[in-house]
Amino acid sequence: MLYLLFFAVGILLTVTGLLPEVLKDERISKGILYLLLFLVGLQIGSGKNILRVLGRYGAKIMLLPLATTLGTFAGVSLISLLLPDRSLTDCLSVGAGFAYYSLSSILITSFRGAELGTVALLANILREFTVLLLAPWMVRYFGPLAPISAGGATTMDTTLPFISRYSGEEYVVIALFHGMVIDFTVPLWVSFFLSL
Amino acid sequence: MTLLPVLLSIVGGVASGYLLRKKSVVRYTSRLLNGVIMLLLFFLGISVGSNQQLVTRFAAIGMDALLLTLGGTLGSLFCARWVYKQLFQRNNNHTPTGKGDKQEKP
Repeated sequence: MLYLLFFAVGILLTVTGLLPEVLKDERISKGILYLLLFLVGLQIGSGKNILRVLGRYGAKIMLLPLATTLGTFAGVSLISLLLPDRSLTDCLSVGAGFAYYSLSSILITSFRGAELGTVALLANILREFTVLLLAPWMVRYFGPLAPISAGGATTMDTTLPFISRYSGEEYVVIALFHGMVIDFTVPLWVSFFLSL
Repeated sequence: MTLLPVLLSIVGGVASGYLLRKKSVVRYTSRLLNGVIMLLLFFLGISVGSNQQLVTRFAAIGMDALLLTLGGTLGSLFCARWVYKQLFQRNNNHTPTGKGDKQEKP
């Protein structure tokens, strides 16, 4: 939530005209964006958790991130039929945020503008909220893997306690692995769809 | 055109992270990452605030976001159910038995 405060302060300063013009230069945020992506990579490269988990469960554990990705893209593609003003690739890039609202909206804003960036911000915040609010319902109707899939990239941090509680503690490792994989693929998918 | 610099930044990060994995500097990565994300969200606020059209069309934008969330989340829920039924429910050799296992099949 602290993240959103920074977002709100940015809006407020601009709307009230208190912001120095220099800061409106898009090259600044683009430069920081590459730093962000570098840091995302640094975190993945220096971590050793993924391989350890893979050894314990085998390749089968890879199927859940795959299911999350395919299911999300299928659902978002269907929705794009209802949104004639938005292209399929734009919709897919929003979906490819997988609840990682900060990174996806930042990327989309720098490459497609603030309008789609805002759609991405809202859509991906909503996706995280959905898990926080509906996790028990998801487990009941779609099984214990459901809140993990719905949580997307957040299943290694914000939604993990909810998964542990409603799916069961034995799903924590699967959720951690799922979160790490999806987290890693968010910048790749988003930029892939934006470059199409 | 947008993919290459993005990819290079990430791959460069993964490589540096791997080389530095035993050094203590990498322990500060996540803290630094949080700071950078906050900074960028501040800049995102700036681009949203300086876009007048965006402010006036906010309701329509929110509706699009809601629909996309609905589609993406439901799609992933159905796929998660399929994976659970196909792979996790049938053989319990090295998979955990969760609360869901005790449920009746619909």
